[in-house]
Amino acid sequence: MYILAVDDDPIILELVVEVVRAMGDHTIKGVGSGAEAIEFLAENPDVKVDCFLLDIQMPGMDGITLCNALRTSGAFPRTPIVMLTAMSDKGHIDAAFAAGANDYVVKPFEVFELQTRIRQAEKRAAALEAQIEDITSEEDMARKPGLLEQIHIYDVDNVIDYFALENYVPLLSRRSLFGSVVFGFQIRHIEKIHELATSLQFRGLIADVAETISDHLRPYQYLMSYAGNGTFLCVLEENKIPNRKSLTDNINIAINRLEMQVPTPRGLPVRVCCGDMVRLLGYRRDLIENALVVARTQAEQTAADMDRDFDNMWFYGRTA
Amino acid sequence: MMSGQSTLEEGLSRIRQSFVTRLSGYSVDLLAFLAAPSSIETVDSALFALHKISGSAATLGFSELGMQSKQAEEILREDLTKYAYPSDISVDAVRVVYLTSQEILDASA
Repeated sequence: MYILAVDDDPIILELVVEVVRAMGDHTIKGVGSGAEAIEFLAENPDVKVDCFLLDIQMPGMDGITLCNALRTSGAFPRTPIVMLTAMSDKGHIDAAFAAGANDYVVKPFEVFELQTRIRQAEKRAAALEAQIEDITSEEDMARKPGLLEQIHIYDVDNVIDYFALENYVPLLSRRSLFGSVVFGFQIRHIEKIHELATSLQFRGLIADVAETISDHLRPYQYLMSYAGNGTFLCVLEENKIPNRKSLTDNINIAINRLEMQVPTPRGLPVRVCCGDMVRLLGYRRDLIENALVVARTQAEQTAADMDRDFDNMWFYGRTA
Repeated sequence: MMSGQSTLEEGLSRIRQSFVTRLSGYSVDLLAFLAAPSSIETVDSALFALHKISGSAATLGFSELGMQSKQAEEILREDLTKYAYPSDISVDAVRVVYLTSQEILDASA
């Protein structure tokens, strides 16, 4: 893996270079600023960077701006970006993930911890490589993403990769974590829609629904991710929680206005439903993963219940 | 594995030396702040020094210095946000960092 580390502290650069070198099998280049990083990438178009390690607080261009610039440049839409920073407050963490970071390591770090995160990024880069190979082979150009595939969504505010969401939650401070909830939105009849839709239609549906949910969560402090199977997971600070029913209704009205050209069973309009809100109760990765799974299952279950009761909808007076 | 580990240890030891060399420069900045805590320049330089020290000290084995500098940086930033100038508490916190830095520098001399 080729790693580009950007930090204005020469000691940190030396340290990172040494730690990565000790892992073997990796090549690392260190530069001292965002401007130098951009210059290096422009002057070395043949270098394929597989992972970025970015400091946040640097003179000139800060790491979050650089992260955003890398994502929007088009050259590194999914390359793992690990923030390596002393800034441990929620504002910086949220901003970094929203700008496209996949992981966040707070300085001072343990050598072993940094190596673990780099190995995770390596796995991520390998998975990405495999996907890119899939997409570039002619046969797979028209490949429809699998129903459970966690499709990457570009350019939608506060939408991050599922992998990044799993890394984001454990970083929240005790106060923020215990004051946060996770909940899911499920696109109804997703299995059938997936069966009927073309690749383009399905990808478009996921992107449009993500954008609509994101638009409606704008008044809140949140990050969200597409978890596959038509499910979107949102992590939200509990000090301002939306009314679930009116939020869902408003999202469905907005989706309806989009007049999406997606084949649905019996020509029904595209609808989402919202699962119960699950409180985040622990730092351990397994507890966090469990909360994400529960939120996801709740959303799927709500959709399944609605689909099952669909024929009786008018008797129950349900709305979505 | 053993050789990889020893190479890493050797590398870290070399970086520890670089850190100590830089620490003497940061120490000068901290001393300048202690001499003139109300000057904008010395406050900025002290904040920069504290931020850099707290970023790498603990990783290189100087845990106490790392903890003290992180704490001093936080207190100083809070003071600047609240009062726009450093309070006696932040000056004391920076003094603690300076003294620990001197101990490290003396020990490595």
